Amino acid sequence: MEITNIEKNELLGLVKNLYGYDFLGYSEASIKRRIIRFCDIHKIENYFDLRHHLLNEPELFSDFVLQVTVNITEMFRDPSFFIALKEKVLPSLATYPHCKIWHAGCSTGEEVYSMAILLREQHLTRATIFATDINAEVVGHAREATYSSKLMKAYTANYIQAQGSHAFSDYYTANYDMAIMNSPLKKNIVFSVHNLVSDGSFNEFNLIVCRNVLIYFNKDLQEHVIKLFYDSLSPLGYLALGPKESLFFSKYRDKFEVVDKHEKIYRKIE
Amino acid sequence: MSQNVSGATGYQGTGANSAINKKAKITHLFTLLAVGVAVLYAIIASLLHFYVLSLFCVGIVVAFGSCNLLNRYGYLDMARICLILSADAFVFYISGSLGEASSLRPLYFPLVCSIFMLFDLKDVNKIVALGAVSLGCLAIGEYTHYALFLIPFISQNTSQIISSSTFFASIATSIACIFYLVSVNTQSEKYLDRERLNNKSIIDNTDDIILLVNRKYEVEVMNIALERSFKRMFGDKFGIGSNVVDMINAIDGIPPQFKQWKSHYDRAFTGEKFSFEEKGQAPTGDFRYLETVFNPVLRGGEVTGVAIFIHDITARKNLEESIKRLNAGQKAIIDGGNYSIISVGLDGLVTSFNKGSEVILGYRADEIIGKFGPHDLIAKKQLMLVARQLTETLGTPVAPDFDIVKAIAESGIRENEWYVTTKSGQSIVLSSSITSLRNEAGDIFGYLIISTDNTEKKNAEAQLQKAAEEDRRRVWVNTGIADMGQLLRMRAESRSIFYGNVVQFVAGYIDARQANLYKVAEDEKGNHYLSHVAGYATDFQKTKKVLQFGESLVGQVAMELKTSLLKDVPTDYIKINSSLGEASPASIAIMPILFQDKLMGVIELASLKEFSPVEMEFMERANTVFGASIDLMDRQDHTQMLLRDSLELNEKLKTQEEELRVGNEELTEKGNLLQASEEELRVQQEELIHINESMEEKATLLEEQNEAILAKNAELESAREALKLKAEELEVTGRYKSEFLANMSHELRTPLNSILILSKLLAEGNEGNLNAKQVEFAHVIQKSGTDLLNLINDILDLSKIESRKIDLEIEDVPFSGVSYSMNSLFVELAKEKEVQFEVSIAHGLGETFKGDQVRTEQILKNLLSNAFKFTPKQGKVSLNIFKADPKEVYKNPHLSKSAHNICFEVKDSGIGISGEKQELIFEAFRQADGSTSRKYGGTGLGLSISKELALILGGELRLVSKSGEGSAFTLILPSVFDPDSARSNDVSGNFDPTPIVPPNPAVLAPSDTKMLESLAPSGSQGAAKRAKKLVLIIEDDVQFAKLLKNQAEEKGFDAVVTERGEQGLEKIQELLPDAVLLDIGLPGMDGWEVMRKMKENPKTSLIPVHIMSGNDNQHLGTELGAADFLLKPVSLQHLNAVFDKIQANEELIKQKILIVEDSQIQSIIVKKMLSNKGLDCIVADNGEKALEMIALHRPGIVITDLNLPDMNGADLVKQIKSNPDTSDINIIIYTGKDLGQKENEELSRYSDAIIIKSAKSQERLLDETTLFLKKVGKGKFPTHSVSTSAASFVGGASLKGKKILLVDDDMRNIFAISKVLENEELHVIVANDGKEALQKLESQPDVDMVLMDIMMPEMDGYEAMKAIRGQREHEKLPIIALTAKAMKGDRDKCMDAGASDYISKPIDINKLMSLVRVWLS
Repeated sequence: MEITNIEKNELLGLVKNLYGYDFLGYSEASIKRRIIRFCDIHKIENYFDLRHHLLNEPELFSDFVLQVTVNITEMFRDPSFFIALKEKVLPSLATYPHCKIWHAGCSTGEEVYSMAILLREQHLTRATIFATDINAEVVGHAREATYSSKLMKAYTANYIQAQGSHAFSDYYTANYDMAIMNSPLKKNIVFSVHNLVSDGSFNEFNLIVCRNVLIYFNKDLQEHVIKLFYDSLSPLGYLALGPKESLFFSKYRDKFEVVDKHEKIYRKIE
Repeated sequence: MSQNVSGATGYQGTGANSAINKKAKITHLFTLLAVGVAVLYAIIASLLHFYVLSLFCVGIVVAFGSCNLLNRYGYLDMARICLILSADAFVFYISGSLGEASSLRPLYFPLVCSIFMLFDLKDVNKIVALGAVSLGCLAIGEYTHYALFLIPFISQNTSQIISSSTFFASIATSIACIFYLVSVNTQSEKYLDRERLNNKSIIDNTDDIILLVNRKYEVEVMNIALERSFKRMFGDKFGIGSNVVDMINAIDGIPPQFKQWKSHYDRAFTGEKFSFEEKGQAPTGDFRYLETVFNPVLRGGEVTGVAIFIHDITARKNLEESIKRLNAGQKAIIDGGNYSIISVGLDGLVTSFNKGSEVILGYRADEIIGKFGPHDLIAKKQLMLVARQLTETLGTPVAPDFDIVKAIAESGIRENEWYVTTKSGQSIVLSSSITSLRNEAGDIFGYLIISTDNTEKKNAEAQLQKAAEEDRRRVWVNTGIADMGQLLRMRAESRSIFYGNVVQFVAGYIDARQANLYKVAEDEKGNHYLSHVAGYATDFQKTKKVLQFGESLVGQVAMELKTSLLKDVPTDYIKINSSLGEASPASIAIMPILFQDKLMGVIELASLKEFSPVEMEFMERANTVFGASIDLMDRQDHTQMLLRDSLELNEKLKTQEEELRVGNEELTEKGNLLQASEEELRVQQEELIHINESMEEKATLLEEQNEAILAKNAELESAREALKLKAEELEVTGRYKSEFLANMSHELRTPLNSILILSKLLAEGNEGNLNAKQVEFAHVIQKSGTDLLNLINDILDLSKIESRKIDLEIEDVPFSGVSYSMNSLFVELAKEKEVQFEVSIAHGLGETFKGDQVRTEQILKNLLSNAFKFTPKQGKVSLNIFKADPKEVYKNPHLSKSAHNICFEVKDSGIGISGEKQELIFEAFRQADGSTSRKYGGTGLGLSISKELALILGGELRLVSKSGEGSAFTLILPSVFDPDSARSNDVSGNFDPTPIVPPNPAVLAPSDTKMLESLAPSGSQGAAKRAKKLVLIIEDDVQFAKLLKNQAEEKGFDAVVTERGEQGLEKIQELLPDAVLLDIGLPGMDGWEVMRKMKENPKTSLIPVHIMSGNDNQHLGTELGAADFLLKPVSLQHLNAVFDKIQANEELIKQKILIVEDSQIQSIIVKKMLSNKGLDCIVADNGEKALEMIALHRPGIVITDLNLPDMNGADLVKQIKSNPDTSDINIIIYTGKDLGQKENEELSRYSDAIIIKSAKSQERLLDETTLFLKKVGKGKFPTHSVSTSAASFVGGASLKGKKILLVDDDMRNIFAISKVLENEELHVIVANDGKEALQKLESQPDVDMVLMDIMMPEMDGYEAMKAIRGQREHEKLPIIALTAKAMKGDRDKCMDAGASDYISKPIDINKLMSLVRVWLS
């Protein structure tokens, strides 16, 4: 099926009014692909059906949120990023008596646990991680911290590439094809639902990690979210974006300095 | 009758006369008499209401009349017949009506009369006689009065025929009548006598007293019992015939009631029968009850006397009494309960009806008892139903009346429920049990029905049932609707299948047996009609495919939009068919399918049963859903139709569009990426332009250069000659140097000798006065000395060789001599090192060669000692001497010229030398590996010397080696040495003809050099006093350097450019610039080196270095302490940012910084670091001093440690912050202490940053300091989460002293909110998470309000609020939730968790304050 921009905007407008979820600022091509994918899964053949079902069936909508928001993540994804964090960011964070880290768009939590592992290995015990996502379901999954044990092989490779100093298997327990992250890792993690589009700043952070989230947003929304991050960062706080994302085009570019150009790590300087 | 007779006489009496007239008169008289009697009878009969009788009397009169008339005119026979008939009728009906005649008897008479009349004409007399006899017999036999009617007959007859026999017969008849009467009388007399006797005995035999009194009060009859009692009482005074009244009056002591008896008699005489009961005392003393009955005796309608009966009823009375008592008890029981107890007699009428029944049923007992049966109270319908059921269960027919009661009682059914209508018309439910009442003999004499009012229970049950039903109904309906919804969402292959599915589903769900779905359609003219789209078990032949609105019921429904429900469907309406048969539906529902009041279609459903309301409800809801679905599909169809149309029209356009769209989407997809690369490209483009420009410039330069080169060629020529001279000079100088060295060596050796000798002496310790350590030292001195000496020797040797100060002694050298001396020199070493050593001389070599034996041996010795040095144990070293291959090509022309050459090959199985190192080892002071010198010792000059020597000897040295496999050095010498040729070739140095030219600093073209010169700063070069800041640019790309310089000058800096590392370093040390822009890839010394060198020198170590490089090694840059790292190509913006940064450094200087630190080293380090940034630092080593200095200097920043000698750093900080004059000073706590959470919180309130000392802490200290200074420069601190409004909080009562618990882990919020609240004189307690909040609440229960953040670690706000609400004492504590979330659901979630109110972040202080006021008021 196909969907026009007008239809897409109408649909998202209705969704916003009815459910409070604002996807209007999502990148056009991306959201359209997601909507069409959603329709394929549910065998919905045209826009009218889609609108009809979506507006009348709240259960269907929760799945819509799940499908429309992309939840792809892995542990120690882009190992070089974690190396950069370890070398360029964490030593500075260690100078704080207590530091707060915000994982915005944490999805199912793999990156959060990667961060927790990294913090442990760097003896940064005085840190709290706030992991948030728009989608309550994936936040629940993140909180559960159970992953398919098949994935653990790939994660282990990533971990080694990220120069992890222990055995990756120290951090999880696997059984019945599932692996659960060890609970001490969760000790300093707060999981919560947070909507980057509609919700405000809720704390002051020394590091905000928001990787591969902005790519789904259009320019205006990206700007809005960057402002939110800026407001939520402590002075000299760090912001880490995904490899394809950049502050280069943002109005806030001058308020940040580049810590690592390749890993897209920035620091708030004013 | 006389007339009749006279008439007849006139006719017949031709000869007769007066006699006849006379008789006629008599006859007439009789006739009149008879008629009169008849009339009289008729009148009496009518008066007595004997209408039949009177009627026939009239009939008789008529008959007589007509008889008379007939007779008169001569129809005698006829008259006679009439007469007989009338008589017969009269008799018959009189007797009949009186009931005294048997059915046959009346026939006698007419029969006889008829016979008589028939024969009368012939032999009248005989017949008459016969009749008379028979009549007589008859009369005598039974009925006297019959005879009477013979009289007129006879008299009639006499009037006609007078005969004696007839006359006699009449007399006989009369006599017979008299006889009869007499006999009857006698018989009755006898009968009476017998009766009397019988009566007497009966009367006498009863126990009762019987007395018969006549009107004169005289006793006529009395029985023995009375006689006896009279006799007992009165003696013989009284008896039959005595006057009762007198008798009573006469008796003394007679019970007074007897006195009234006269009146009783009088009363009885009036004809009334009555009785009364009396209680009297018997002579025996017992009380007796007597019943007296006065019974008037009637005789001929007149009361002739009174019969008196007196019964003794004592026994009965007693029984009655006891029964009454018993009944009263029972009645009380029966009436007392709340039960209805009804007893019924066998006749079906109620015999008792208790109070409970009255209450329940509303009827009074007297309204029911004896009048109604219980079944009369029950609803007829139920009676029928129960009757049917009972008939079925019992197998015997039960009528819907009292039978039911009987049947139930007999069948033993315990409980029954009856729907009964009360008097007031209310319908109630009674639960009853019916039992048979049996007498002693076991016969049923009635039934007892006990009932309770079950109406309420029943109603409750009914309600419950209704509710359950309702629930079930709802579930059923909802399930159906949900299933239907699912069905509707599913996409069928086609519309008709879809509709079919839906109809099938709906029909199936409500168990309809046939269904049709019509959909509204539109024809070409735009008229709407109904089209059959789907059916379920449809009879296709009968079903109309198309229906107009209003056509048939379906069309009607479509018009009215109202459901039509047919219940009693005519049998011929439709049939539900199966292959086996057909049936008529019980009901049919035709329903409109509407969507938003618009008709979408009509569905018709037929069922074998009636549709229940639930099913109707389901259908209605299903229709609504279905309607919406149809509408949706219609619109889809519509859209698709339009789409199809447009598709057809725009086919071509579409394909193009498609391609475009695909392209577009891909483009959009890569939007982010493209945009980025686009921007980057733009930057590169800019650079390209620059490069282009510089290329053009260079091109012109080149042209100029070409010209210049031509001119310069001549110059070069002369320069070369000059160089030649110079070279010669240089050689001479070199030789002088060598000579000097050679001399010098001697001077060195002399003192060394003495050191060696003396240290050896000491080491040998002959004196014995040195301890072991000292001896060891001496050994070391000696060894070192020896090493030094060897080194000096080698150097000397080399310099001698180089300066050609060697004298050769050419002689015939025997090979064996060389072999021998080598063997003897190394055989011991070989043994010691356990290395195999061999020396071989090839055959045909000759005995000797011409050369210098000593030098040759020196070379071989050198090679061999090296071989041994690098050959491990069990290895092999060999010296082979053989003739060189004549075809061999040589580098040294001596060898080429010589006829024979000799090879001395030194071969080992040592470590070998890798290819690239083979060149190096021959150079002076070099070894294959720097590390080998450590392992193997030696100066490394040996091979250089050998090489030089070989050269001098007219030969060369070759090396064949492989790393790890050993080496073979071959010394090749001519068999005959020619000293002249050797010497002549020295200088040209053909061994290595190209001299290694060191990197030439002057590679730049002259014009470049000029340009660089022009880039030099024009101003003074002194570091100390500069008007402008100086930037040193070290960059080898001239164009870029130029750009940088321009940029710097534009920004108000002085700029100096150098293109080489070494120069740059020099300039740095010379000029001490304010900043350095450094390239990494530089000719000569690279940027890294420059930087290292800079950092090594304390004078230059703190100059900020901004690296700009194409080499991405940012990491190294940061490690070396670069201020910035810009990757080339650098954009102008970044460049400007760099210059801004350099500029900003300047501004920092204006603020003073106080360092409070007791450790001097620490304070110096920090001070130095900051001072290097141009910051003005002052130091205090204790708290007191710090406070003094703060007062004095008013610094912008205080950096303090926590451990101070005189006070705690925390206290110092508090003092600074609590003093209003100094509260705006920025405070950085710089400590090595690991702070606890509590401490951290406390300190966070008073300080602006806390830095824990660690690897990167200095950097951060610098950053923080810079940041603060920057902020100071700009004014206010940015506010984040809390937007503090300038508006003052006016109005409202003072909140002073109220206690507020602020739960938040966000420091910004805590500070901002608590500050505002404290301004209002509220007391604020802080907790960092939910758990802590609960603890605080427990320890301080007097908290007036809680401000609760939601997203917190440990325990979040939701949980905390729930926990607080769970405590009884905090049920009403106001809690205001602070949350970053803005969505509807979040607010509800807060409220559900127990929040009193809600405020979203960023918090508007005004709003917060009004909330606080509201909730605290």
